[in-house]
Amino acid sequence: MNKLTEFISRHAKLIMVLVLLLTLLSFTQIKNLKVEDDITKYLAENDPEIVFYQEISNKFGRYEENITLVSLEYQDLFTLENLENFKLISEELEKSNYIISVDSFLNMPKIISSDYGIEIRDFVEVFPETEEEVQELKESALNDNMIRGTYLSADGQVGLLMVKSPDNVDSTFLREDLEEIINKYGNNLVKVEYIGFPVIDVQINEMARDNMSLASLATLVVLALLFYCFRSIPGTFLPISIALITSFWLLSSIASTGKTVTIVISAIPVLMIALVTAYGIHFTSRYYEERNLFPPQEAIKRTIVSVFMPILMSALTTMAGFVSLTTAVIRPMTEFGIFATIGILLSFFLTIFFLGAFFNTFISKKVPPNFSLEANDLITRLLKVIAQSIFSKKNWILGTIIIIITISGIFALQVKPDSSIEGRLGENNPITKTMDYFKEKLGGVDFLYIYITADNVKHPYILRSMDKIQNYASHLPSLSQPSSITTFLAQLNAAMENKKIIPANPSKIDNLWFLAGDNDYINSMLADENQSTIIQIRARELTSNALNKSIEELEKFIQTIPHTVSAIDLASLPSPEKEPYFSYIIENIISSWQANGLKIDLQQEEELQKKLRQIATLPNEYFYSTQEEFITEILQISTLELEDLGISTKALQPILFEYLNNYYLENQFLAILSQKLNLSLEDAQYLTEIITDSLSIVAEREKIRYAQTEIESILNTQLNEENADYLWYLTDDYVYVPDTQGEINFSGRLTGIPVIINEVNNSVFQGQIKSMLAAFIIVFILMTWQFGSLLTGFIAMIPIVCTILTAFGIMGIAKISLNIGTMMVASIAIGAGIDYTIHFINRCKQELAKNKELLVAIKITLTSTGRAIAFNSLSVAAGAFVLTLSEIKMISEFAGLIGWVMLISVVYTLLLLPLLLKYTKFKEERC
Amino acid sequence: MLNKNNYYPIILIILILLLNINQLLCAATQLTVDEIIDKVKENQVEYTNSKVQAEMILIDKNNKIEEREMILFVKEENNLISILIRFLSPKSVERVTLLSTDNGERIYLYMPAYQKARRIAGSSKQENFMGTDFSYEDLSIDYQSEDYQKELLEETETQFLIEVIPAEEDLSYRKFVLYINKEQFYVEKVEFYNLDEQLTKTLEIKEIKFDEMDKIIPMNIALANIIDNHQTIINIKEIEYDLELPSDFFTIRTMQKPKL
Repeated sequence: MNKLTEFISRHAKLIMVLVLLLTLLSFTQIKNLKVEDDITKYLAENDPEIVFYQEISNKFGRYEENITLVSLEYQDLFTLENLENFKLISEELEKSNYIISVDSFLNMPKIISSDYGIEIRDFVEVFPETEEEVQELKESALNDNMIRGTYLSADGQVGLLMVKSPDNVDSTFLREDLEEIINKYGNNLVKVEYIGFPVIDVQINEMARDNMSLASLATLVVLALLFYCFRSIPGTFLPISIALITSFWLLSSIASTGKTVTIVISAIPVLMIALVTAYGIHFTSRYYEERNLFPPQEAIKRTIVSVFMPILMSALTTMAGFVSLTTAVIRPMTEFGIFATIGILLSFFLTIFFLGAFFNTFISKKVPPNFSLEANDLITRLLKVIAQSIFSKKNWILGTIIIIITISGIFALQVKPDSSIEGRLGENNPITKTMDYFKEKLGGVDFLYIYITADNVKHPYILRSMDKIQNYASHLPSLSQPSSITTFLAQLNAAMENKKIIPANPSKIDNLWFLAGDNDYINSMLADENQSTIIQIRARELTSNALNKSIEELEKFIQTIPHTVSAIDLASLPSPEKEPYFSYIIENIISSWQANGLKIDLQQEEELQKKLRQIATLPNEYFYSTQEEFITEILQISTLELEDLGISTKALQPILFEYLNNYYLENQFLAILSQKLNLSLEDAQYLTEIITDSLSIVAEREKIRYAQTEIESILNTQLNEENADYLWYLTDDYVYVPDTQGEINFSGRLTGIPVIINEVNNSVFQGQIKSMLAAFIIVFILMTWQFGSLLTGFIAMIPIVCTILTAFGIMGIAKISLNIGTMMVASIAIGAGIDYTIHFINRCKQELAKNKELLVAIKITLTSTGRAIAFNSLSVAAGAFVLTLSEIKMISEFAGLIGWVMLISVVYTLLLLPLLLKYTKFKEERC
Repeated sequence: MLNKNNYYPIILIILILLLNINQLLCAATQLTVDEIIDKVKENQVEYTNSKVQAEMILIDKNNKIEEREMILFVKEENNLISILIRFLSPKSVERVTLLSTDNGERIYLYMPAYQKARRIAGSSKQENFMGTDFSYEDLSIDYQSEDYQKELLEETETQFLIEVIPAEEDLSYRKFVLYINKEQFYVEKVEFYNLDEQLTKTLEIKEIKFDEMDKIIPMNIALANIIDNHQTIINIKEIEYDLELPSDFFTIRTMQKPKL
């Protein structure tokens, strides 16, 4: 120790210069500090959920890091002027160097079909020119499931622009460019909101910097306290300078590595001011005590010798608290734990070397007299009262503590993890408010993905299973607006054959794919050479019990669908052999209804099965009719061929009536056609084929209409359009039969931010337990080592355990959730709060060593060290409370809890520890 | 918004270009633009209809390659072109057939699994045709039109560069630049410029052969969409001219026939 004091004395000026130079250098680096708060980076890079999510994001180009959502709200978007303005903004944004593409409802795919024509084009291919056309467009857009509630709010006031930017775009420039363009052209706008990783990134950075700037306020608060305590300029400024220098060094070293850090790092400056200032206080106060008795050099030597071990112990226990955070496998905690540990270590060395060097260099002539022991302030008077009455009121004190701990224990059980962005940033945070706006107007901003893999995901069975899964998902709480390739393919099929379902015939899917294969949306939904695809579902909240339950139920539902099946080509079977397979078709219809939210009881299910089986066996001919509508429909779907042949529907209509009315055979019909329309045999044969095909189609339609009426009477309710469409399964020409040896199989797995949040929540919970246990064990070992007694080590832990229990109780009462901020409180509280116990027991031992009675020793400790502890906790709490002004909820809560924990910790130390020491025959155990 | 794999429109356009632009072409050094174009016309096969069997290779921006085989019939009558294209392979598109009549005024699609032909509507002449980068108007541009302004931009050792400025005001192209082979007088390359004079597409004839009359037949054609970074290569395997096709060949009925 002598060598150390001599070294500091000899190199005092060099130490001062070095510290100042390093601090100046750190100023230049801090501006490069980059903060981000991406939940996908909370878990380890090799975490299976993260690896899976990244894989899916990369495969399907849904890397949300590149997507910014911009909502443009108008009084009414659907006026010619506003719609043109919306289009103009979209076009101008696309010209930006920071933007690759802009998607809106204007360029969503739209399928237009009639009985003879089909068109697939952008939703707004030809821009409306009149107000009437705008209103037609509005009606069409609000009736489109792919647009309403997704790209357009249900009230028609808000349009969404999905802006895709290049990889690694500078978020600040992107945001500025977006704002500049929208401000320039958006005169008609009522409101503009931006959300998405690029803009959140900018806002998070701004908020983190605001947090760091709160350090100035914390500095002022702690300075005021220090001045009250020391009544001297060096005594006021020196302790805090240690904390400030440590923070500068720490942040600049993070910035200079070019690494991004999460938002909790922004709490470090204030936390350092709160925690580290105590080291400076101990050093300075001890120096002033020694200075009153000894010359300057001797006073410094004595100060270093006497404070080195206590400050080291204090630093070690605090570091133990921070190091324990690295046991939780959550990146923000790990990096916070590491940086804070380094910060504490740095501050320890700075306290010894820098303050030692300072007092060596600047020898103070005037020293505050009788710095602490003889003070008579409010706190000291209060402590004296406690010292006088603590043992006489022991039952009352213990009783109160037991009640508080019991209540706290009950409320602690109500603390739940919440790692959602709302949970982290708070309800009133601008980002959360924007998210709420998007949730209200456009169904939310985050997605749950179901990753489907198969040999060929374009297979009808897989597509129908996906359709079932997404329908089931859409009826679960917290989930909405599922979409996948099935939605688009069903629409295309409707355009082709008027059946809004996935056709059962694989060749039809091939044909539809040919028709739609170039659609950007469709292509973006397939990967791995058609072996994987996704279902995308909007999550209304990012985390909630409801959402977790929905995810769980969805996973279970996916398992209920047969994953391996065989295909049966019904067209290749004679009629009697087809019938056994109808039960699979019927089962498919009923399960599709149930997945789509139709409630069917057991009795109804039996009736439905019976009725559907009966209808399925009816031949198409059963539904032939001579009614005008029936005939008109046949002619309508034969329009193209009739035009080709140059035959008018008017000429054909009576012939068709005759054919149907007289139950002619096909060859009789051929003869009539040939004769009455004066057609060649070849033309008549062609026309007969066309008409009989069309007749079969129309009869099939009649059959389904009939089925719908019958089913509705069984269910006593009208089938909605989607459920009515499932009746088309009765016309399936392929059946898929569950078969473990089958050639068609698929698997489904959930991923997405909600799943990751769930995983983070689990990790937070486990991390809390791990880090708390680690901190407890490390500190317990340190205590046992320091006091040389297992029992004393154990007693020393009791006040801090009570503190943590009370803190969790407060969290439960105040409904503060467990997140990466608040979960660090317990570990830090163990590390930092234990200091009070150490100081208390040490002093008590010193007094006992002077052969004083235990009660006397405790009373002296209470009024001497107790005062220092009280001031220390006040200064830590005051610094921490400043951070409660943070806009970020988790930081604000974290800081508030740290503040309260330090105050509670001192209360338990001063009230409970003396009682414990008395009851444990502390004296005999010997110090 | 339709299939880039639906290469029939591309073929349609290529054929039109071959039919028309090749006819623009022309002669030796010191030749005027009109003379150059006349020379190219002389080298062009004249026919009323043709049947082409070809392989099409589609290369997307990610270098993903798709190969398809097809058979294609073309008829020109009264300056109106009708085209019937049928895909032969792969199996997933086998027998899918497209019919375009009256320079693309009417387009029908027949998909065998559905058995019914459907009309494909084009809302706007300037919109993309069936999801390709070509517009409906591409089908109706008369590159030979005498109203088009032509200028010899440059004469290199091997090529004439001719700028063609269309007369129509509502056309979405400002100009075309033709690269004409000086030795053999055929269009080696065409550049398409939009109204902002930005190069959007290029068409290159990479391989030719001569028939018994020494007329030029393009055998390998590459079409590149600069904006979408998409490329289509057509290898012509067999070409026949002036077949005896029935008068109702270019109809829906033909599309529905299992064999052509």
